[in-house]
Amino acid sequence: MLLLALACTQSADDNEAPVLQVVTPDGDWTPATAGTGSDSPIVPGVPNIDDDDGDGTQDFAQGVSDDPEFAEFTVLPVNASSLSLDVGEGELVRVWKNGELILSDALPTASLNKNKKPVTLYAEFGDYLAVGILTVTDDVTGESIEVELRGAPLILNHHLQPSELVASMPTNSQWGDNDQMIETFESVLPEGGFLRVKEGRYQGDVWVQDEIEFGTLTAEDHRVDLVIDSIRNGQGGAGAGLDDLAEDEFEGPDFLLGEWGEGRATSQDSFGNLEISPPVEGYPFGRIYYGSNGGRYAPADGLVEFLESQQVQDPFILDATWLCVGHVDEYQSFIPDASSDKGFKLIWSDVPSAIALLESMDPDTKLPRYRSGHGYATVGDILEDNGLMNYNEELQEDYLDPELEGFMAELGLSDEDVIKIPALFEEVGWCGNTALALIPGMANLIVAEDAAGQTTLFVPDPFFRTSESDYASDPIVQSFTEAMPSELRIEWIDDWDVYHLGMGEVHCGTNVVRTPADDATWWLDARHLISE
Amino acid sequence: MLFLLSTALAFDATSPAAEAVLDMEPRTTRAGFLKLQGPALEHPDAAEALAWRLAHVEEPLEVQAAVARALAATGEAELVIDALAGQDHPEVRGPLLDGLRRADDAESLAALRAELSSDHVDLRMEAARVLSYRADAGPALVFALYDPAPEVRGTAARGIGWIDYDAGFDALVPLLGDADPEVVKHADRSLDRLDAARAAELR
Repeated sequence: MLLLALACTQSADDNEAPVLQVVTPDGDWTPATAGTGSDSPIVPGVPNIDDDDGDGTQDFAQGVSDDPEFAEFTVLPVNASSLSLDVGEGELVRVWKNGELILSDALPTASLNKNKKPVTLYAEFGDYLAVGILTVTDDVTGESIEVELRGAPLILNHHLQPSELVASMPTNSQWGDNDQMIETFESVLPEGGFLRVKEGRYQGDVWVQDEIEFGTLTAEDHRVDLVIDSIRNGQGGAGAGLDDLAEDEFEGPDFLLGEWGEGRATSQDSFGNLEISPPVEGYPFGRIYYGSNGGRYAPADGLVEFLESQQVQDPFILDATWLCVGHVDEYQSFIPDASSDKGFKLIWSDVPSAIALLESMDPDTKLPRYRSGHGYATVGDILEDNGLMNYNEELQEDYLDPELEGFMAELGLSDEDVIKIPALFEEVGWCGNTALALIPGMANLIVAEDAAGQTTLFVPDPFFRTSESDYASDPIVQSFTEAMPSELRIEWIDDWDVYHLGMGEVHCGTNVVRTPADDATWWLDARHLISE
Repeated sequence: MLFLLSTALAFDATSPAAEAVLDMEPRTTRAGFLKLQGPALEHPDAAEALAWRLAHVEEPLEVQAAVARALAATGEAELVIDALAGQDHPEVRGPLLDGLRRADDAESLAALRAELSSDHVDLRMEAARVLSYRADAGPALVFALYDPAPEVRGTAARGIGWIDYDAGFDALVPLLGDADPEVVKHADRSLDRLDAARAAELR
């Protein structure tokens, strides 16, 4: 960046009278080329709200004169020049030069001496999306350049970003074990790519998806991760279950921890109920969505307000209240699809396709897992349960179809962007006529790269077969496999005892740290979404 | 775990199978409630052991509810009915009711029918829901159409369609004017299931 500034300076020296210049990550600017407002040059920076020195005090509050989160830019003051910083009330932005604080809300102006070489300045931000308008004015010519200094928004990760670390809890207890799942992760994922969450430390709270959500704050050549710690608190009080996982395993230098919301958590505060789409038209970082009925069954207000304030992933709402658990990850997900224009497919649970598959089977086909887990010994037992069939038909008509229509409208998707996967639900006793997956919810999967870099789907095994080893005889497995993009590797996960019968699936029991997309230049690509 | 020795029941609470059930610790489901789960529940005596545990072991209410869920999942209607007779708390009665969903005898039907008169609206709704899976539940569901709570009326209206209870058609018609849109939706859909042509004339 600095070299670029020098080159531009030389060019100007050689060919024409030197003029005031500012070099930012989005270009080098003169009064003639720089726009204003949303077209002005922009200096993006990661908010300096971490604690790099580990002294327990946020770095911005410490006021250190140098920090990895400082955002560098240069000014070439060909004449004596004035700097003025306009920060709104409560905006935490300041500017440093040579280790000296020169601009802040209390120091709104500064000056630069005439100089033949660019002067390096550093913007520092004390909050997400903090903004200040820096005006650099040539005192001789009166010309000026307006520069937007902007703290990064928190951008939550989506399934198209490369995986770095998958976390899950090995468990072996009275109700079963997840040995096959853990062994699969450890054999498929890259060395160091799997985190074993300790069962004893976290009281067997296996719902790793629900406690934490990962995102990043980025700027030019800089990245800080952030883990949101749910107010779920391990389905208990402070310190219960997985409550301390974020602090124990993730919080640290360049890994922030944030918690928003307060009060008694509902199931909707779990982060299986907080998902992010891949990039779609107008939203280069995708969109956040969560389940809510706008009333009692909704994430905490504080979290919703924070997510909305980050602007670039404009959240929208689904209705997941028809489910006993009530999380959006129970019936849909996104997978990469290189052959698609959009680069992904939405997978969506679908009752009619499941019923069609069942009707194609021998009704006497034994289903050992379903006999003990759900009270259905054969395929025929399921099809002959009129209540169950009617219930599923109505779920499709009342929820799955209209929810899909709304979801596609929010994200600008068309029919070819959607893969419908077979799904059946059952009513949960004493849970307000709400639903739960009868066939393990295959949409409740995770996407991660294997050791060779191949994108892999870790999918709940439907066990819709008599012989567990005979995958070829399982029409649900075959249907799902045939519907997936061919470049994806599929690993079937036995999540039956620990997750499925516990009212969750693979996604519920895992979490994934991801690399920001290569082109994660929110200050260029998503600026249109950020209000001035 | 504290449990009392019973002399009233012939059940041997000291058998290995029974002890395995009695020693089961509940897990927390993703929905937040507790659940008993494991191979001990596969034993032929598991239902009796669960009933015994529910009747005789002093445990926190949420654990009792988990035991009730496990007992209901066995589908042993007689034991469920006995358990209902000894339980007052809705958080235990509610999970038990699902244990009568697959039964087809008069006694279990009567137990569910009695629950429709409960003071507790959630119990009435749960009874209506369970009845909706039983072919013999038509008259009981018609009774529930007159419940003061819309969630009970709606559930009952839905169930009449599910079990194709033709005799319930006329009782459903007034619900098309119900103040609650969910009740109207279920009544309308069930009328359609029972007789689409007659239902169309009503619109």
